[in-house]
Amino acid sequence: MSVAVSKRTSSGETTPTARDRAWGRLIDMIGSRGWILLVLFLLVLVAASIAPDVFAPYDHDAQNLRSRLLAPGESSPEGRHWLGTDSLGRDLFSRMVVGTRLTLFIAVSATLIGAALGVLFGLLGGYFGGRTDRLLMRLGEAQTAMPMFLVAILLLSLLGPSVFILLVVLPCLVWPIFARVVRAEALRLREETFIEASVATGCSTATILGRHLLPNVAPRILVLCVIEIGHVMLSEAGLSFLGVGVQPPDTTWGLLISEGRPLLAVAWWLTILPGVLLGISVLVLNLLGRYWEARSGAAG
Amino acid sequence: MSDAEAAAVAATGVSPEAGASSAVLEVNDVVVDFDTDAGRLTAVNGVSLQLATGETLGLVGESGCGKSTLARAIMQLVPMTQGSVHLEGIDLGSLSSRELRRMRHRIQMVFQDPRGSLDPRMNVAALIGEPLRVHRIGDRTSRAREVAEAMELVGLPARVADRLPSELSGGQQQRVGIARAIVTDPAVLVCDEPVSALDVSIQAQIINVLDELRGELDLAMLFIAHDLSVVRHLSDRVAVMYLGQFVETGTSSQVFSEPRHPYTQGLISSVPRADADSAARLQTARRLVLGELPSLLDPPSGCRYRTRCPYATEQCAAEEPPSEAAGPADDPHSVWCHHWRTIAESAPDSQPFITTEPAPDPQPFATSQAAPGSQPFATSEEQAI
Repeated sequence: MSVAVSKRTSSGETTPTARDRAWGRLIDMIGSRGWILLVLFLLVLVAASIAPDVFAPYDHDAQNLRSRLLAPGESSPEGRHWLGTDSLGRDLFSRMVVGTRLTLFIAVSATLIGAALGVLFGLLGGYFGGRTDRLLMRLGEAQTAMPMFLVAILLLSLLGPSVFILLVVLPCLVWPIFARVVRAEALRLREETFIEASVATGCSTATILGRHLLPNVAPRILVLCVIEIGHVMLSEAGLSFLGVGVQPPDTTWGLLISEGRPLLAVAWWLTILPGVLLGISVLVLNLLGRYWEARSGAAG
Repeated sequence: MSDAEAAAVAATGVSPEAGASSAVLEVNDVVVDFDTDAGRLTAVNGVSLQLATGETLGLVGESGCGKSTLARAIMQLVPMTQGSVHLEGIDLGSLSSRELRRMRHRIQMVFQDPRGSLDPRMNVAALIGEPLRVHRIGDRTSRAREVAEAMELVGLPARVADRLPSELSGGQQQRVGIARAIVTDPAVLVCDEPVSALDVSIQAQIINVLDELRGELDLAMLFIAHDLSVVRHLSDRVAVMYLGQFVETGTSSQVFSEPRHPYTQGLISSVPRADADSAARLQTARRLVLGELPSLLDPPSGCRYRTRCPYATEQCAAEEPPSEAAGPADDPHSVWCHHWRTIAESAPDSQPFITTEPAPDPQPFATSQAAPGSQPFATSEEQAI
């Protein structure tokens, strides 16, 4: 990334691009009631990760070599497999349901860790400005400029893949995004009279940051969290796909895609169906986040 | 009081009854500079004032003359280049930021923009209770009681306690701002144009709230406004500010009924009144305050008012006018003008500038065309009108 580009992004200003306009059209399509469907979809995912047994028709790890690679809709002696079976005869739908838990857990916790870090740095940089700001923002840019995916692969292959390392690596991908947004907001807010008024009242810096700035940027942080959960989900899937993320017998959607890939020519559903679920989830999170952002932006 | 003492009193704007010991706020020779893209500007240039308990000082001047900057310097919200602010005998500039923070409950401020000065995500009770909370005054129940009392004092109904600022009217918002400022029982209240942003119909209510509070709480109040009638109503003493400096100070009645500085005279006669003389007075004002406010980046030499003053002479360009007692030796009335005596003689005290005639014979002062840097004055044109 060139210096000029990073400067522009760190200023926090956005000009509508073709991409933004496309998102705008999608958001318009949601309408005023469509977002309930999106929320419903997410609630189903959350429910599936809390109680997978309710949703999964079969034991996700039960192998049945006689009903291997059944296409979606075919039946085994145990019953119908709506989304087919894998090379060990395991029910794909059950595996996807069970994989939801770890997929969501990693995406949500990594995003929250990254958000916490980014919000802290953004508030400090935006409120104090000067050297603190320059240091923190350069750090963020260095981070953004580094091919974090390669670094992640390096780390994971050195230290061995584990969920814990994913929770270290994935937040690094998202914190600069939070830091930039929060910094821009803090820069704007610190010029507001109510911040001056709280200094005059006798508030400490911690009080101003925690009780005045943070609540005023919270809505934007929440919206960004929703969007970033989708992005982290994709990154985790990417790492798992490359074999350096989650390891069997644990499973995530990304790992399912990865496991299906060698059989793509004979059993397309093993790759495509988890991929579609992942794609839809990321899209839903994105739409919901952007919809809320557009609505709160219009309101005030 | 000796002449020397009187001169000192005049220079610092101390009222004689408020000796140094009873002054709760003492501001000495404050200078505030700002670095801008166009260069360094001096927003406040050597201002001194004292304020005693229960006393209200009105500070008037047009927009951009440094009133708000002076208020912020007193509140230690902008750094001073020079000078000192003593609150109850303590030099605020010498304190560490933590010590200063602990002192802040003794000096509080009401801001011009009522909505902007309230955190939009805090409700009324939280906003008013915040000063108590950050200064760790009382426990939860006593704070709730004090918040309720403060709300009653400023005339806020109890039912708005859980509303957000955006759900209140402008007047109610400013009442919240005032309640916030008085809830810690401060010694000094700085009001920076507290009614300028409000509807005229609401202004009087807020003024009355402030008027009642200062009596009830024994507040020393610095009241900043550009509305002279408001200042006259509230103030014991008045200071008139122009381009970062005081040009006249005195008791409210002195400044308003016997203004000595041509700028003060111009300000007072520019207040529209519903009477037959109104048009004539406005014309007088037009004659006394000429043209535009000069830039603070490049203030005029000598007397800063000379570029707009019909009486300006070469002396005004050369020398900064000293503060002079505009009355008996122990009079708190001070004026910063070389020619105030001559001006006072040329206009009758009792009814300043009410006649349609221009002040008799402005000619002796109209030599100002010769003064370097000053603009030619339209004396003849004004007389023609």
